[in-house]
Amino acid sequence: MAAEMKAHWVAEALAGQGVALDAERARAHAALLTTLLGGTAQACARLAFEEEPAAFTVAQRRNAP
Amino acid sequence: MTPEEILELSAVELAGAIRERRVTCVRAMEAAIGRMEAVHPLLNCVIRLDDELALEAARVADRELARGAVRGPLHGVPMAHKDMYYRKGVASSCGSGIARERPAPSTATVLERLDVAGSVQFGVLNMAEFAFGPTGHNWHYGHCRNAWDPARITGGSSSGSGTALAARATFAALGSDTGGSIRLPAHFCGVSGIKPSYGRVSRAGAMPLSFSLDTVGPLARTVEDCALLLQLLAGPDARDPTCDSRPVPDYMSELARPVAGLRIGRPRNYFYDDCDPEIAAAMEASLEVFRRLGATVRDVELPEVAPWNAAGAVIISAEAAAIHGNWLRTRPQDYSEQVRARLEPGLAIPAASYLDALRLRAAALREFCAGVFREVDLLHAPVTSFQTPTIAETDLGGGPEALAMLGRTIRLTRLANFLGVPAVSANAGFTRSGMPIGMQLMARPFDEATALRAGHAFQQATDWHRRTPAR
Repeated sequence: MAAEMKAHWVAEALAGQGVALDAERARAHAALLTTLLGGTAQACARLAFEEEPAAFTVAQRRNAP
Repeated sequence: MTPEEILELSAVELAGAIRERRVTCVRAMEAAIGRMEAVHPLLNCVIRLDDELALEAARVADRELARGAVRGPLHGVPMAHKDMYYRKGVASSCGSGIARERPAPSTATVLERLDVAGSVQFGVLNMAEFAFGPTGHNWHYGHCRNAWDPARITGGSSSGSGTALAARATFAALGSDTGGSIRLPAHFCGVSGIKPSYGRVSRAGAMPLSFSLDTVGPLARTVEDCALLLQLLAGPDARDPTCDSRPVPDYMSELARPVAGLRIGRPRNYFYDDCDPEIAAAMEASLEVFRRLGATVRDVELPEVAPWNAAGAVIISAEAAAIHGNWLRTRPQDYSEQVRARLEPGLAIPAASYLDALRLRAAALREFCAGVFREVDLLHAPVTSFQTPTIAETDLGGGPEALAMLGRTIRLTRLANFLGVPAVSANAGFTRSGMPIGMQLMARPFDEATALRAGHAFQQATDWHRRTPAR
């Protein structure tokens, strides 16, 4: 998910959870999310199909001294 | 000993002085409370002082000593902690206007462990609202001010812990670190701190910010103090399912081992991008100290870090939004503008993106260990790349300019949280304007012992950590 987050989508997503945003806040949040999600998507594109969150704990243990 | 002499001792030194009856617990407590009351008007570091309770506890501790009973390695040592560790029946503010209304149902495991070790808590310290701010600003309790220059930031979120230690008003203090919140105040305030591996210290009874990234650790005057506190805090806890079950090494014994032969890495990329020249020079000087101690220093190429930092931000945003969702719906006006502006976007993060960010952690840790910790035992780096700003110039509210400033502040610290690795922070010098400069020493997962050993050896060879702000 590297596409631009739209302000109206962010406003609707939050409204659906009971949090009201004005247009300026929605634009600011959308801009931030676009940056964060874009950066994450760039790195995740290389993830193995089988990778799962719990593998982190295993990686911690395997790389401990 | 005079109060001034007592206050110059480290926690380890004070504990020894108490056991040897060179100072009483009451005398130490009176000195700490007196100093805290004296510096608070200038530094705004305290949220609540429990002076009467603490003095009574100190009297009890003295009576126990008179009977020959020593509770533990910290018998009678006064401490104040970041106000996010719960004590049953007492409300922890968590630096917020909301949480101060909620008495805690149980006591934090880390407080219980410090109680068992004999430490006496005498108050709770200022912090960023819900630990979600790296500068030390707090719009509910007032901004915390740096003991080295009260016009400048303390760093956060463990702001009161950092500046109270610099002012010699507590002998150690608990902090927490989700994106740099122990290392940043340790850096800005010129004290020591350790962010442990994720899972090394129980988080039970500690305010949550991000389940996957939160770590609990001490700030102290010396790395040796950090080692002792971590020794007492670390280890399995049935109340925290994420707490690792592996045995805790004897950190204090490990400190005695030489650092000769240790391989220390200096990052070629990322950490020195746009780094202030005085900070870069202090880092180079600190590496020279390690060389003189017999360590080898070699340059290492890091994997691409920026996308990992973005993923870390996705994790903290999504998890913090989940934790705060109910209050965001019902009490948005009770958050500061900055914290609310950082929490709300998390409600719009797609579940798949959040899970992708979590999936990325394992791959990132494997890649980092294979590329970096195969070559070196420790990664040495600055904590920030810029000199300590003033409170006024970083008091930017919650708009895009503020978020950019916050991102710059945690740019060099959040990596250790995403990877779950330990990192020691210790003072490595001062700027020409007299503000402290910290270094961080990152180690492979659960290798706190090596980072502590190197930090302690550095402090044995230098005197930066002994310097105190003018009063």
